[in-house]
Amino acid sequence: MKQFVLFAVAAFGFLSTAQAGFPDASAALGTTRASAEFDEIRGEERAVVTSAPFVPPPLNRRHATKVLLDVEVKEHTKVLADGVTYTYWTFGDDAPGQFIRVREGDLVQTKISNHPDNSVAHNIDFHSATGPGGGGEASFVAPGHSATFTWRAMRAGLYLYHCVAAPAGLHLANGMYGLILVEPKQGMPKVDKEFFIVQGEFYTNGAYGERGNQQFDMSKAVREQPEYVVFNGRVGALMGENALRMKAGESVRLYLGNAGPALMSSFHIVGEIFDDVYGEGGTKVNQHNVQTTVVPVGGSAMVDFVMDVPGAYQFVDHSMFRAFNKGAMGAIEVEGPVRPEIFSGRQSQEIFNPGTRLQRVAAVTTSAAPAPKPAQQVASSADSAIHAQGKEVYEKICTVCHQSDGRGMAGVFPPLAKSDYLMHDSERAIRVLLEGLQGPITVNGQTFNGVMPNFSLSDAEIAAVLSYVRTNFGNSGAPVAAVDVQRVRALLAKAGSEPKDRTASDRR
Amino acid sequence: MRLLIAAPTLLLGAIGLVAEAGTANHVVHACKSTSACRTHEVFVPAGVYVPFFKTGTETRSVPVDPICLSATTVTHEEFLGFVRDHPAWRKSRIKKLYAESSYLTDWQDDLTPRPEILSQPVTFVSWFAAGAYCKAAGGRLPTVAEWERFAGGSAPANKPGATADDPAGTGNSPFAFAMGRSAPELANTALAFPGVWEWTSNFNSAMVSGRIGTSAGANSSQFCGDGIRAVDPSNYGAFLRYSFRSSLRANFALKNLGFRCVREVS
Repeated sequence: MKQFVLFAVAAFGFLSTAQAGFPDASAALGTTRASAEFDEIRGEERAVVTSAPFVPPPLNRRHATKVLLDVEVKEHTKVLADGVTYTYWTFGDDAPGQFIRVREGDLVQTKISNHPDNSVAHNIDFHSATGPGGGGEASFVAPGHSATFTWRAMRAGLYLYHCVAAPAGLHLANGMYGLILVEPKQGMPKVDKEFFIVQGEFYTNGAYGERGNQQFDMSKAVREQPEYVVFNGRVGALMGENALRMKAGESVRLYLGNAGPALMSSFHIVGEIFDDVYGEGGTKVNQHNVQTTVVPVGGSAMVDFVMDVPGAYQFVDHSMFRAFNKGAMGAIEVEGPVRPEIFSGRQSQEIFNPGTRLQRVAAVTTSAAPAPKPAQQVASSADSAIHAQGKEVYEKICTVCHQSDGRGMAGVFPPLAKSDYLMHDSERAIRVLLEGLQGPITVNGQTFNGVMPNFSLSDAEIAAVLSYVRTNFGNSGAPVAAVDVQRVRALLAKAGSEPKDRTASDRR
Repeated sequence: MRLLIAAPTLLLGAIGLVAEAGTANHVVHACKSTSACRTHEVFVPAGVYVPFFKTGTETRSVPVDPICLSATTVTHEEFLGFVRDHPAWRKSRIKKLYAESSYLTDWQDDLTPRPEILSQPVTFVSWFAAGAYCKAAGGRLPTVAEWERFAGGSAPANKPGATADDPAGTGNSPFAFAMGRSAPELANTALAFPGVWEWTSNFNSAMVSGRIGTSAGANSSQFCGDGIRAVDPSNYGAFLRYSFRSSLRANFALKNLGFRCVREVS
């Protein structure tokens, strides 16, 4: 008898779907409640949506309307990082899903369609909806089926939407999230450019950068230790050619979301200060002059700023190991005239050898002097000592960016492995290590536009590490000698002092 | 209005179900040995199933009787034999009530599955059709308890997705492990899981809600999808199965949903 009841429920359940649609449900939402309580709904229109990082233009609509929103769920294999793929679960084609823009007071009729090829049930939870599950239960749908429900955008603000089918963490970790902006009735304050960025995590069974198709790793997820923390769904989604582009003096707004599912984000643009922050994605500017804003998991923030100084900028989750070792980094390219009254750039560079300067220079000179051509003359035991020293320097300093295999990171850190840039000109390589490097370069046909600092290495250390990288990682070049480094260092010191003299004479 | 339309059809559906429920409840205590099973079946000895979701705060155990279990899911070829003998279940004739329009959608016509899929698991079959097939074969669909008992040996050390641990290598989905993994004691049998979900007779008796966190409501016995109520919240395979089952209706015919039958040991 108990089983009979269960079956009856089953049969009834499917019948209610068969009759489905609840055809007057949305109409009821639109009209039945007192019109004094809600804005009158006038007409209907398709939702305005855009793919990352772009944001639909302001609605400039003076009335509430019925918005028709179609969302298709897809499970498909996509690129997570260079040489790394993952089976994403997505709203639309991508993680994050498309940016949706509606107006406060709108009715949003949402149809979610679960592709027949998909493997599991999905749904959608709008943080912008007021009602059980944000629509989770109302939209819960098997593969090969669609479900429709309607919700009223009661509160303006920037909201996350995501799949919340059990186990919800897995659906989030597989990429099922996006942002929806509910514009206030009067609209958002106008800016020149708008973009959106959603931070998310991937828990792959292989370590960061391990090539091939990766699987979800449950134990890493439960420990909240993702291999990848990325902006807009993959490593490098906002780097290189995909960097955010703007002109100096333009007002810019970033709509930020954090899908997590585990880690809070400390969003920071290196070298820029946010003028206005709409904390936690609400409608009020609650702070000015902010260096880093928190974007909570399952939450959002909006930041407004104007870039004043042209150049290449990076933005990061300032939990810095995520930026350097897990992918949480993006780039901004700013065009415009230089602004030396705000930022000079490097004005000079000198050698700084506190206290022992004379002795050290003397020591280098004496040790180098008796062996004018060490590159040709070192014995094999000395060779291996230099190799060991080079390896040590590499692992201590260089692996952080160029990676232990010398491959770098696509779009972010140039490769040293089989690198034409490195091998073409050993003197240039020495210069880079002595001075650092900033600005666009082309390596193996790919453009990089980053910053490499000057690590203040000794001549011997530079010679050793350059010899190491030029004879490893698939490179086969001549080693570099300490005297070569010394020579270039002297040249640079001389060149560095000349412009300074000229500037001084110009002033006179 | 909905009720008016629903009531007679509900009755109609229920009548067919009573018969099925009757056989399902008929517990046989006779010979409980492997010899009772046929060649393509696997004997599953009596055991205990611990439901994935607690009742209140209790973790219960449910005794499960021994059964003879089809070693793998029903193929197109086998289902073709069934619809030959039972014309009412052909795609042109099936009552709309019993299957949605996608029923056997990868068949060219009533009696023609594409030749290349003959030996593959039949999918796009409704719960009604699957139950009818099993009944005609002298068995029935397994209950959730039975299915979880023989196939819920699920996640390798509760590590979904770690395919290195997935000797079954089931299918393309990285979550194929959730579609079935032999209970340890059945590891050396012919029991196979070809990478499709499987119907169970009471698929919707333990609901996972579409949303975590709704179990606080009055209807918590139906909507208990939150991790707190799960016996083992790290068993994502089980979550995926219960979630999938609770998205189903009895007339659904899906691309990745097949079935196998069980027979009670006689």
